[in-house]
Amino acid sequence: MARGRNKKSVDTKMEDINLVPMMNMVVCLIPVVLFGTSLIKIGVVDVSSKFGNSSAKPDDKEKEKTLGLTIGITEKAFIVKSQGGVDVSEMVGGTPGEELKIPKAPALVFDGDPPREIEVTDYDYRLLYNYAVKFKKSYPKESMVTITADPGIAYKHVIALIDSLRERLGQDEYGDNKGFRDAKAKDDGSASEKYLYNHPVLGQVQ
Amino acid sequence: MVEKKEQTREEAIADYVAEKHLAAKRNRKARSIGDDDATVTINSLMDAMFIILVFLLMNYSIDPIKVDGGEDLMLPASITEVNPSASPTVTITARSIIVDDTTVVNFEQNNGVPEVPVRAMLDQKHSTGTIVALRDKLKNMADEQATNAVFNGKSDASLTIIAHGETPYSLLSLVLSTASKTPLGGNFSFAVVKGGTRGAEKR
Repeated sequence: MARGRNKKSVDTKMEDINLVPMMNMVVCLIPVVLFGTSLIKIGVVDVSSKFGNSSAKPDDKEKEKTLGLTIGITEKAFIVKSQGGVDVSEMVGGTPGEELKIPKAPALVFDGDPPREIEVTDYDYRLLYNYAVKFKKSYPKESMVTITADPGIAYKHVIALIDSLRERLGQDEYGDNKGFRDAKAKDDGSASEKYLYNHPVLGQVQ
Repeated sequence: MVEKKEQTREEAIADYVAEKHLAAKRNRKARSIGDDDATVTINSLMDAMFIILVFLLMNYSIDPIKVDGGEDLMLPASITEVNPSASPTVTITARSIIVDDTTVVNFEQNNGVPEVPVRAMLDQKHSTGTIVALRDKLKNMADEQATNAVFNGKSDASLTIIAHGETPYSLLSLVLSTASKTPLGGNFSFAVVKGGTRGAEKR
């Protein structure tokens, strides 16, 4: 009386998932996303201006006590001045009473394909930073710098100048451009220790 | 049996090899798929597509500023980390001034230096003067903003300047001077490309 078991065979074979609709969707999504993708990251640099009736203008009482750092960009140099009548040349060890000029200087930069070091003559942002730290030590509460330029100076130099003066770096003085370029900003301490002149004000053409 | 016994050793080996060869051939035939069952393997393509999609989604821009870069509009690089916010924009290219996608002034080229035509100015002062079309457009935008501010409670009197890196300071100064004569001219944000370096550069 062996009972014959009526086994139904179970189909264990796995069916492949139909990926074609998924593929269609992905192919449609790629152009849409590609259109809205920006590979260049845009940022902003905030500035005030001295045109019109700006609130950035220091009052006369304050003017006497402060440095009022002003930097002019000419074709050949930065010209550093003080609105408060401080002798900035003397502060950095120059001849007292003389106009403080920071001429363009040769610097090694990376350029080309493949990148290699080449010598260019550009504004001396490193020396300007070194001086700015000295000014900041004497006037730690000041964070405003007025920037003016000759009519033909390209706007990109203004941005580079603002970048150089914004943050206080690891060292107070840099001897070479490479060290200055690669330096990291200070990330601790009070605002006056972290920032140098982070409130740029654009003035009228010189 | 008799026949087998009579086979030499070499013949037996040859038979064995032939038999194996035949078996292998049968196996290959059994494994192969007929023409009707052939399918395209799209798994690897799917993988590639998916990776591309994820990469693009990661870079998907929701920036409030759209910059159509070109030779006429190459933004300067900066080390700033500040992201742009939604505000009216004034674009200064090498050829014109554009306010929110509308060209308001086309420059005249003076020895390769862009200049605002005298007829577009309210006065002759080239650094502190007023560009009439720009002033009017910005005033209109300020009025619209003021109306919107009544409803949504947001009032932001700042202007984003998207300027070509080679723009002369006199021209930039003229635009800022004009903007300062409108309610939008209090503070300015200059659009830059992130990832620049500090200090001297081949500019």
